[in-house]
Amino acid sequence: MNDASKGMRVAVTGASGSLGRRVVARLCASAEVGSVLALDRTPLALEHALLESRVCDVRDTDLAEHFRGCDSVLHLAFVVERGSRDARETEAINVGGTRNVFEAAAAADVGQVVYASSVAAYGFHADTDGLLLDESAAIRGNPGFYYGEHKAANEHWLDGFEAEHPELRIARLRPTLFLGLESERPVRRLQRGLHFYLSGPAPKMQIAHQDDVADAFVLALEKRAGGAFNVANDEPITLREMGAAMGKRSLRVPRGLMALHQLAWRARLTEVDPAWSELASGPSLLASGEKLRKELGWQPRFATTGDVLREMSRRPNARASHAVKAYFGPLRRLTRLFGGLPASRQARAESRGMQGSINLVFTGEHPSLWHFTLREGRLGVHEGSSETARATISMRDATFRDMLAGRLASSTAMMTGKVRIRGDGEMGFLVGGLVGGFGRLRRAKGLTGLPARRYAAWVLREVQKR
Amino acid sequence: MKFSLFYEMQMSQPTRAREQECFRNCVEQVRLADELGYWGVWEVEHHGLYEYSHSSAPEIFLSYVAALTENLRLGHGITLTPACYNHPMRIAERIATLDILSGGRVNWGSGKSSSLVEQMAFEADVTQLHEQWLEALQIVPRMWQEEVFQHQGRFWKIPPTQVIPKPVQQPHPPIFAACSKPDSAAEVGRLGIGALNFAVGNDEYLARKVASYREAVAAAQPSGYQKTDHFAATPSALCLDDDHLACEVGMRGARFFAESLGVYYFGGDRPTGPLDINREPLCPEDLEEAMAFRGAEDAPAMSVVGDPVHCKEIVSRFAAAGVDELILVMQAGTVPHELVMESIRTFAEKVMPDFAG
Repeated sequence: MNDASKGMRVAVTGASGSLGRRVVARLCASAEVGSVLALDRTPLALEHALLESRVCDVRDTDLAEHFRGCDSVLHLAFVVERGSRDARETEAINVGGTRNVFEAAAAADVGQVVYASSVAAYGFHADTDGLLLDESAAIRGNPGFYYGEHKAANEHWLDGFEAEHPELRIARLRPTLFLGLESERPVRRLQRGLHFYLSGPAPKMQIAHQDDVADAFVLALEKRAGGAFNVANDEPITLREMGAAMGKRSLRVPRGLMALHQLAWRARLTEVDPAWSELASGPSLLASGEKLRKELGWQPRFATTGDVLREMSRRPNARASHAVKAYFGPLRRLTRLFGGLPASRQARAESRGMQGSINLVFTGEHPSLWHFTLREGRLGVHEGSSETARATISMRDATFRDMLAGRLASSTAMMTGKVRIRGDGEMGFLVGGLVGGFGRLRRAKGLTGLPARRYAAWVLREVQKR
Repeated sequence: MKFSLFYEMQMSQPTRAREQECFRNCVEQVRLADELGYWGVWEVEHHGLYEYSHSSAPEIFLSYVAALTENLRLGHGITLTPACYNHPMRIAERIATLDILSGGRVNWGSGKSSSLVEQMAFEADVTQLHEQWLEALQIVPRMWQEEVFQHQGRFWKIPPTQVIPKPVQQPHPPIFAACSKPDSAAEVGRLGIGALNFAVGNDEYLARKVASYREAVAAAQPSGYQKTDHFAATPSALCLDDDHLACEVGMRGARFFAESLGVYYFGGDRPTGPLDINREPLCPEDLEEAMAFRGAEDAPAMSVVGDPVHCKEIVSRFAAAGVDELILVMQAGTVPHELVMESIRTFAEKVMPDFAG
């Protein structure tokens, strides 16, 4: 049915999740893959010549229709944080959905399924506390912790299913905790100046990098692997040691405060199930990634948990010049507080009809990446770049400083190519706006203009430092 | 491709005498363009934008040059149509009169004004400018075509009236609109009227913009007026045999243009007196860099500046993007009249023939 020369056709469930997006992007770049079918309840916001995105649910009865013609299925769909979903629905997706996926794959004559299990299937138990588990360890999730229970139930069910379907090659990947840059909440926490940890017993933890986990899934697919594989890196550390690994001051939080989390969860003030934070006080669950390295040649870019934490805690614009940080830092904070910068009547009138985001890239020895959002006349400033930007403006950091100091006109900078714009050329107005707006802050009049003048004077001092 | 001239009536640090001289010079430039076979002239309407644009009564200027030219198309680029600036009936009457006196040479562009300086001077309600523009766009062409016109709209209510005179061109003069925002080319295309695109971008971007306009205009089914499928771009320009001189003068002018525009459109202040902008030539290093950047792949196609060889290359980039007309902005604040004349001549003799037909 499939032309081998064109590469495999791969379907991915949970494709719009944070791991799913990474896996899909890597599949599209794989030489073995001819086409990718992204399946999720929310459409995948990614475009690629090899990619087709469809909206569906792992509980759908006609799932096999989507799988028909596929060589492989990567099953990643799973409820990780159940939020306000009720327990029955969570189980229907995690357990019922997984069975449905495997049965549909068998019905559609798919050759291979790579399934995202978890080390949580082994469970956190006193008798394995601190032991480095290999793939032969017993599967016994922790009662009461839905995530581990569901992962364990699926593994047990799979044992039977696998025996009945010898024609289907099944790989079960069991990752430890992992983080990617999109894991917004925990990453923001890691990027704080201080590190908090709970008092009392401190289990060791393993945290992998999401990109390395995504690599493991693609490897399992490319090598048509069967069987179980832990996806785990080296040198587990305790919550308490994490601060030191990231070079931060640590602060102990009394264990009694955990009760507050329980209360907040019951009052629906938090989306995070306390079942997750309770893991931070039980026995350690540690897994060995040896088999994955040896048999599939997995080479994680972040080999230890410390490496991952250091990467995650690094602010994206850590190398930005003081001038750029001074200029954009407060604007970014204002954006986060008020959803955008204050805009004059004129600014709103002028930007009518302009929507979308603009990337601003500073190059040179102080690189940094920002993006601006424009919505209903209000400008917002954010760190990092936007994938959907309609224009990218790039310049050397020194060029920006020259413009702020009044040594270079923005018009001259654009005419000479010191400032370059890709995409919508009109978005170049932003450069003149950043520089002209700064001039206006310096000239702000009266008492109400004092904060603006102070801010401008401070930025200018930073600009002139070098 | 068609070639035209664009007029803001721009001047740097004007005195009354220099202002008068500028108007007379512009008349002379337009007469030369007519003799040399340019397609048209486009005249803006702005109010109170000191130095940037002294063209506040374009209908008078166009009437005057209509009498002095033979073939040149006379373009309003654009007429401000919101209620506070021009009543639609006055627009219909003036355009029809000019069309009669010029023998059917009028191009009518429309727009809504976007500088707060003029909006405040005329007490415009900025939240209604767009809707007022749209309504005027619907009724002006009907006034030209209907013997007895009447209208019950949101902004204008006109009882049965014989709007006279009627224009020469049938069914009416072609209709255009200004587009300066990223998405407005497609919007103008959906209305089925010609696009006067004041925006810039690199070749790929321009090509995409033209394509989105074409797609929209092809699907448009305007009622009440005839469709115009035409995409014009407005680069700054100066074409002289001496490449270095053309760049020195032309880029200085282009910078004056860009910075004075910036003050009125993105400035936030309400400036009076001479503008706080660069009027001097670019310093030698910047000039050299800017000259070299002209040919770069990601350089925005925004200025047709240089000797005829360079100008041809840049014009061919516009042609490749699918642009129908280049409206050249040669008359920029700091550019001497004699060099504008020489540029009009050089461009007509050495660049235009390559793009004829």
